[in-house]
Amino acid sequence: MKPSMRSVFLILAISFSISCERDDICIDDITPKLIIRFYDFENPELFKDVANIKVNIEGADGDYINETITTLTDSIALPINVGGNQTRYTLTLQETEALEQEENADVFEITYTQEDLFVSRPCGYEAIFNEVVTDLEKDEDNWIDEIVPLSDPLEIINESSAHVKIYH
Amino acid sequence: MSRSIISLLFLLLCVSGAAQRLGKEKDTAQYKDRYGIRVGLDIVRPIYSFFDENDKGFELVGDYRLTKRFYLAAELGYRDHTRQEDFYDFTTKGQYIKAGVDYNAYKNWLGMENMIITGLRYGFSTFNTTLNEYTINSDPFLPERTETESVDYDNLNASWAELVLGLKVEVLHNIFLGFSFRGNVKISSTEPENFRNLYVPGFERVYVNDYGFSFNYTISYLIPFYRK
Repeated sequence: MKPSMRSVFLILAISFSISCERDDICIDDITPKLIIRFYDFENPELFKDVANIKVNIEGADGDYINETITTLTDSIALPINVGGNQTRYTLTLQETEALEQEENADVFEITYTQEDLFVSRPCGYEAIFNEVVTDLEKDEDNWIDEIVPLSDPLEIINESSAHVKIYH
Repeated sequence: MSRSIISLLFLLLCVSGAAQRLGKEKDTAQYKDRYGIRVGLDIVRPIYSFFDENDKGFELVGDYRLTKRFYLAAELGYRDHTRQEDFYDFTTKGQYIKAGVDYNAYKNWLGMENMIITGLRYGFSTFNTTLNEYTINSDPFLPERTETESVDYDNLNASWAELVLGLKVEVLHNIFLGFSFRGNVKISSTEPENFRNLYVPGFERVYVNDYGFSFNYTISYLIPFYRK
């Protein structure tokens, strides 16, 4: 073996036996959230902001036990439970003096069927939600007047547009 | 005394120089390259298979010398590969064949048969993939769901083109050590429904734009047929 040949062989053999670390991270859309837009009950064409709202999701741990949105917003996105075929949300308006807002908790539930779709290597499988039904629990003083699905039958397949309207 | 030694050495030097010149002329006139079939196997795969439960396989390699610089070349192999990704894991089992030509870009000294290889292959694989289990990629604060029932995708196949860069060095008489690096581009494949061919035997990991890399370390034996 010629010395030059031998060294080329060694260098190549060593350099290729050092393998690469995986560098793929999930950047695709995964399991969609429920997107809610808030509208004015008296004037159904107009958005109406909610302020200082607290969100509870049954069965959640961590942040969603008591997630509070303090800014004014006319839309929120809430995760949907894939562990079962229903998710129960409690939206609580919190007492705010400036807006003369009193604490008021409303509960609503969505039920659905799930379909699992392969997304990509790093993301794996997502669930999409079909035949979604919304149900507002009536109490003596609902701040939510009505929940209206934006399509019929309601399917939640991505987060590109809102899924339900809440009139209040 | 010393004078006689020096003159003796000088004489020897002259004689050996003359002998070398003579020998060289003889070599150029008479040396012929060996032509034959070379067969071997990948020496790293069996070691991987022994230590790594999730990556089993073997590969046989062979080439046949056509002309001074061109060789017909082929690889034949089997892989049983399990991969754990973040949200799922799968097993792919199957066999593959690669066939094509090697070109020796190395100018050998007389009597040497080393190679710097540039080559092309067409690869074809048939395989089965099992999706062992998956967990839905969803909000981490809500209960998760894992499907543990495995899903089988049988009778899949794929074909690809492969560019080979490599070396083959004769380390002992008729015995060659080789190394090659391959870049692959997928030509066709049957994709499983609601999944993707993320691994193809012979092609190995399928990257996003259907390209891939593989390499092998081989030991092979030359069976000479004739000299030319």
